[in-house]
Amino acid sequence: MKKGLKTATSSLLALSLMSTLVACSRSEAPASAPAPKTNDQGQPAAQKEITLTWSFGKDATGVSPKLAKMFEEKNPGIKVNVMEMPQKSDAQHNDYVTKLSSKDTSIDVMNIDIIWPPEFGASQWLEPLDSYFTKDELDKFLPGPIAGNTYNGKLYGLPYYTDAGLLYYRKDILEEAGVQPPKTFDELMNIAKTLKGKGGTEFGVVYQANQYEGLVCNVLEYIWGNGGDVLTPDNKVVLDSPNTVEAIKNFAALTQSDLVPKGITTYIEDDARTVFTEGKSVFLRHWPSAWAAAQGEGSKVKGKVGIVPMPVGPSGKNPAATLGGWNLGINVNISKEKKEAAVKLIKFLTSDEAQTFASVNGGRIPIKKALFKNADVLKANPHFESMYDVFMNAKPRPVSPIYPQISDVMQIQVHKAITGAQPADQAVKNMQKEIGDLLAKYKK
Amino acid sequence: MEGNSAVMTKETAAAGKKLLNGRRQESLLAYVLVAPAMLTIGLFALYPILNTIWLSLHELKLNMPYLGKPFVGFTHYAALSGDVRFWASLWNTLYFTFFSVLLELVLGFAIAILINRSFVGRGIVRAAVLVPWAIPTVVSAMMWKFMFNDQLGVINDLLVKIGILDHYIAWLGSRETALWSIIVTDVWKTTPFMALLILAGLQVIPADIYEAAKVDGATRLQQMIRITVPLVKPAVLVALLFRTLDAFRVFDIVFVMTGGGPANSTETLSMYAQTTLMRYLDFGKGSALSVITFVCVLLISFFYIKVLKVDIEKR
Repeated sequence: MKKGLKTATSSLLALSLMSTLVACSRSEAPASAPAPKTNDQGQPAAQKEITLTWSFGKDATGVSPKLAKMFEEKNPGIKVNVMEMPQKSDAQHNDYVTKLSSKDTSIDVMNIDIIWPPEFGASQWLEPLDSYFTKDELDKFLPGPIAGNTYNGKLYGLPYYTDAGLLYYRKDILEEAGVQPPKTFDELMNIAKTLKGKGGTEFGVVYQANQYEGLVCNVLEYIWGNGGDVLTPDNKVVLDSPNTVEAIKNFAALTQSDLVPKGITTYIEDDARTVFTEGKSVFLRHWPSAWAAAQGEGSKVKGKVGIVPMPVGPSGKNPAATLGGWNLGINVNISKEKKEAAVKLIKFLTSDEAQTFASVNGGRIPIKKALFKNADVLKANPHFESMYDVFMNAKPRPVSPIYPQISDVMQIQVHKAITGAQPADQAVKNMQKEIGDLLAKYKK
Repeated sequence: MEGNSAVMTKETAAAGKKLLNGRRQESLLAYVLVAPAMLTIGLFALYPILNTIWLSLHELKLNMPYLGKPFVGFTHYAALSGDVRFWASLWNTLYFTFFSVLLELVLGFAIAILINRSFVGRGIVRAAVLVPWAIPTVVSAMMWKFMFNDQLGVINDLLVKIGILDHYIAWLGSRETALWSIIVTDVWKTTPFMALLILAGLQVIPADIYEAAKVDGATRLQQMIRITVPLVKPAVLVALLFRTLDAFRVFDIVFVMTGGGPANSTETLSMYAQTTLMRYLDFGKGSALSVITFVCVLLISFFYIKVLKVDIEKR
């Protein structure tokens, strides 16, 4: 028995020691030992049917597979395999990083989050798309998503559907009190203060303030809406301004006030939406997707909800919305024939026809300007018309290949400010310095 | 051999030769039999470890392919020694490890002694104790995250109802309570493992020792201190060793429950390493963090094995 226990001990110990490193090394293996290119350039294009693999995160609307079928019918000779990825954006990111960094060619076309094109582009993992699209074609798209896909003057993805931050409000409560929805931050605070408790509500406002990507989206709307910014187009940090300090001060004041739930600093999308659809809050900052949830079965605020752009800060001029949404990128390592087929697929997916279909059948926000006036789109989604201005003005998050690091600096520093661990001006100073250091290192 | 044969009789020489040949064959066979295992270990344990150490001495940023992969020596380690975030995550890791393992030891020991007694329904109780251990970590982390929710969580509801709190608390939302909430979750989840290992240790103590002690007039407390504790010590130390190593590498619970927040107060070493590797695509620095975690784990093992002597034969 003694001997048995000892052997068991040492082998278990060895195993746990190994797993420490193996867990990390697994992701490194592809980087250190790139697999040889396995493209099938040898095969003649006309002879064989081309099969494309298109990957996207779990599609609750079911629209993407249907679009793939429609594309196949129109393009005999090209088959599209759809591949479902993990639902969480971070998990997809890691999966793509592992595949692309090892020059894997199992995926040809991929849905990429709006914050990835600069990173993947700088890593030379995505095919630059400029040569495949004319300026006229690109001008028909919303400007924000195109800007988010452009890095160093090159286009690395094409928007597929978009998303931007909005302010939801309780129409019934505001109408009864005879107030207009807020246009400025002060109005938002005042209305929230006076109407909190009316109509069964407990809170004035809910939003996303957990330490994660959503926090950056929220705080950017305060910074931009107050005339501040993070990066200039030539990649200089301009965070350290009185406008940004004021914006973060306001955001922190709201977060620490009794207008919001105590746990707001742990809230992500679902938490905030649940509080609102349970009828507990007057206002909600969320993405357009919350519309369906607020109007759906089981929502206690069905038919009582309105939407407006996020309010403008005291020193700002225009309301701001942070851009979300997904884009289509092409794996740079696939063969020329496949690339051409992939471009065809992207052209189809971004066509008015496909975009209208996705909007009507999946409630997705189209990425072409004209479709916000399309009768079919508006019949299925009447609220899109009032969102057009929001989408036209929505801005991408700082477009940089080291965006994940910039985002983490902002997440940590802003979270420290809103949880009261440090004053707003200190947070801004730290962000300015840390992001500045990161960019300086990157240039080197 | 030939020269020696003059001294030896022919028969002994032949026998010796046969014996030597047999030994040689046997050891050769041993090598052949062990080879696949060695190869596997080399491939899946040794190579990744050495590769990670090698990578940690290089600059390798996937989002800067033009940098190449220059050798930078101990630059990453030097940079980390001045990195506030690294020291904070190390401190969080040590704090978490110390308190969760301590609580698990105390509770696990108590539970093991309880379920070691014979009573009606012991089988069911033993199985029930194991339930938290059987639930996947991510699932239990999600479950506890919801239980700690400020508005809908059952913990706030209970504490307010029995009058300990007069208002709801955002457990995962403040620096004072978030790390402890995670510790509670980990204790809930892994105390059964501790209890199980200690129970196994208790069960191999022969009952006649206790009988002899009773005959000699030892009290229950004396039996506990003089018999149970020393005899169960090896099992306890083994359990402690595994739990400490596991706790030190904690990732999933924190990742699910707080994502490192609030204000980065719950980020652990493993989380920092994973973020650096997969989010920042900085494989050099990320590898350095992995190697530091590995060295810490080695030191902990060394401490247990050499200082506390987790070795039943040298007790």
